[in-house]
Amino acid sequence: MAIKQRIFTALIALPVLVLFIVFSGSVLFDLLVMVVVLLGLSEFYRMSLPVERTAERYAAMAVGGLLTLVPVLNVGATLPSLMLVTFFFAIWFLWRFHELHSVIHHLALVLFGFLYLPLLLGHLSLLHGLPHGKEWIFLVLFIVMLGDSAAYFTGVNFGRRKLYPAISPNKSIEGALGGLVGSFGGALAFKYWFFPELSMGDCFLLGFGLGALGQVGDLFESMLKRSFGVKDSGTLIPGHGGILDRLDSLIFAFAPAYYYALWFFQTPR
Amino acid sequence: MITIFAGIIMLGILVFVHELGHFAVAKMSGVKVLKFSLGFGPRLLSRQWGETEYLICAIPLGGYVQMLGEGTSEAGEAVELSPEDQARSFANKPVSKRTAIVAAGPLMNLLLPFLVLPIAYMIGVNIPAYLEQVPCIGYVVTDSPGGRSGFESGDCIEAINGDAVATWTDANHALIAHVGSSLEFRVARANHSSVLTMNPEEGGLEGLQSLGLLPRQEAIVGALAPGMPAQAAGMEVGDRIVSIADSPVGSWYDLKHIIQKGGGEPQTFVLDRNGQQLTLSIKPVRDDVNGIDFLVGIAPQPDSIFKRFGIFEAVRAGADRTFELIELTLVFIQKMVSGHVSTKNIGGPITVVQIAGQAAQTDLSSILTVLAFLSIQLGILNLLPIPILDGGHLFFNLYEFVFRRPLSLRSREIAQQIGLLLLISLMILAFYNDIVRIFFGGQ
Repeated sequence: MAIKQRIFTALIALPVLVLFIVFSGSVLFDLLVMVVVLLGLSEFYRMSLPVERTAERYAAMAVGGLLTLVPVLNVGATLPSLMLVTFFFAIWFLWRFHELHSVIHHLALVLFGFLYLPLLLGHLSLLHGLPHGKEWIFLVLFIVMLGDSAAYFTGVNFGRRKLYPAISPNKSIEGALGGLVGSFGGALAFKYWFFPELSMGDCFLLGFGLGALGQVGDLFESMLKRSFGVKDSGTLIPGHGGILDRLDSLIFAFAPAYYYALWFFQTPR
Repeated sequence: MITIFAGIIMLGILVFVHELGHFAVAKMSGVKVLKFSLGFGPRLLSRQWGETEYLICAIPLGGYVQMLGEGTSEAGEAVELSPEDQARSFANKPVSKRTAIVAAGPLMNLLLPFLVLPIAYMIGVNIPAYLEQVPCIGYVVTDSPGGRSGFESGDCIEAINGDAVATWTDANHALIAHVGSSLEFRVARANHSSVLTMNPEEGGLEGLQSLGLLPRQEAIVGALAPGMPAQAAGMEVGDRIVSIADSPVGSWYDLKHIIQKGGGEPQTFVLDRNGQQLTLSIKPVRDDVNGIDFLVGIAPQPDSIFKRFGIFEAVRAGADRTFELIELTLVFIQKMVSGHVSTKNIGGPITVVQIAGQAAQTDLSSILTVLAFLSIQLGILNLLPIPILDGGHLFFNLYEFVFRRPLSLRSREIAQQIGLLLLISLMILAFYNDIVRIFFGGQ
């Protein structure tokens, strides 16, 4: 039942996603990224903040959504925006501290949400705006998704030793290594089919680098969920858990991919 | 003496990295490691540290990690193991772990260049000078994509599909970026611009050279083959060739044509040496490879400039170069097996020490570059499926993995002996080549 639902969702969602990346102009794409960030923030704050902080949840989502758009509009405005956001919530929580022993905890969660989603996923818009932006985004998808699948199959067939049982009891070291090889293979396949400008060195650095970061992102999100005591981050996508469950690896991979494309790939002259 | 010492140190680093791979994965897999040795033979230095003895031995051409349950004891006979040691023996580990332990050595050798090459590039390396110069074509290969598109020597590329290019490197980047679509070159020729087009099928992913467009190469002598006519006539490195048999020489590419036209008769070479003209008469000889071309025994000057890379560029260039070197080594082995490259090119440990030692006398970045190249060769050689090498061991493991049981002891012993024989003959050949090269100066 669950697996049927998963395949069905994938059949609908994947083509829509691909069409969106290929055909949407930059404004539409930036708005899509903002919507994804808003959904992610909504899940994150639902998991982390108590019910009596509903006002903060909406305020943080609004601020986080805007924060996602700042870098694409003007990268230089990112730092001052973060300053304003800090002041805004400092004053907000001074007015509405509720209980002194928990207020700093809530403030920290609100601010961490900004680092986790608007900051990291904001790079997706930046990546889209680079030369070959669409290729880069699909490359990251290839690396992460093939890495995930390879990790799953090696883990099921050869998994012996636990990778990190306290956080993710089903993951094995063997699976993680297989995932890295799969990510490298994904990068190579993408190079040959769609992106010949990539060198073998690029495939190596990106495959293993982003593959590893993707796995870290996955573990990190599992840790968040365990810390908040939930199983799925949300129920957005039928059969797939929440949007954070789907994006956990990608969240950690897009931003480094952007800097690789910017600093390593486009050799400035 | 310094050469030998430096060479041994470099070889030692490669051996250390290799054995460290085996050692670290063995320890992680819970195998009891008895010895970790740099070098073979009589021990020079040794120290017991926990359950492992760390040694430096007299013959510095290799090293080993001895694990419990691997072959036999030092005295030669099999030893009885306590139950606790049984569990920690290499032989009793599952095939996956044994594979990981064996593969880790060559893998470390293949990974080392990813670390050392970026360092070399950051320190600075010599790269061909034309890469940083205006992309002017010195020579168009006949019947190449470039030739078919109407390129002529002397053309300077200004833009490719609208991307302005200032250097040969720019041009290569722009070319790679537009490969697969039809190409439009804006070219400056004799003070006016013209546009040349090329079909998308012509390729070009390996840069302008792969389209048959070669950079300018001045007719300056960079090297002289010993015993060949040019050297015998008194030509020197650095001489600029002005004309041959009254035909003016504009670039290196003119030479071959003029010399062939002479048909082996003596020709008058006019040279420019430090601003002074001198004239030599040189009689070309037939090339002993194909017996058709006439040669005088000169090679062009590899015009290079010193370039420092930024950290990101260096990491990327290092990774790219590593793959190039791996490919180069594989192609070389393939050509040698198929008989296209002479086995005279096999160098033994003495050549390795010699190359390493020579590099050690230049500068740090050359040392690191050579270290990287040797590391890759060592890694790949060890992965060849020859019994007694790591690759042979992996091959046995593959058999065990597929058929769910190890290859019989008898077959393994025979394979080991064949492998040993192969390796010994290879070593003899290598040493023979080394000795011929050193004492008789041959190539």
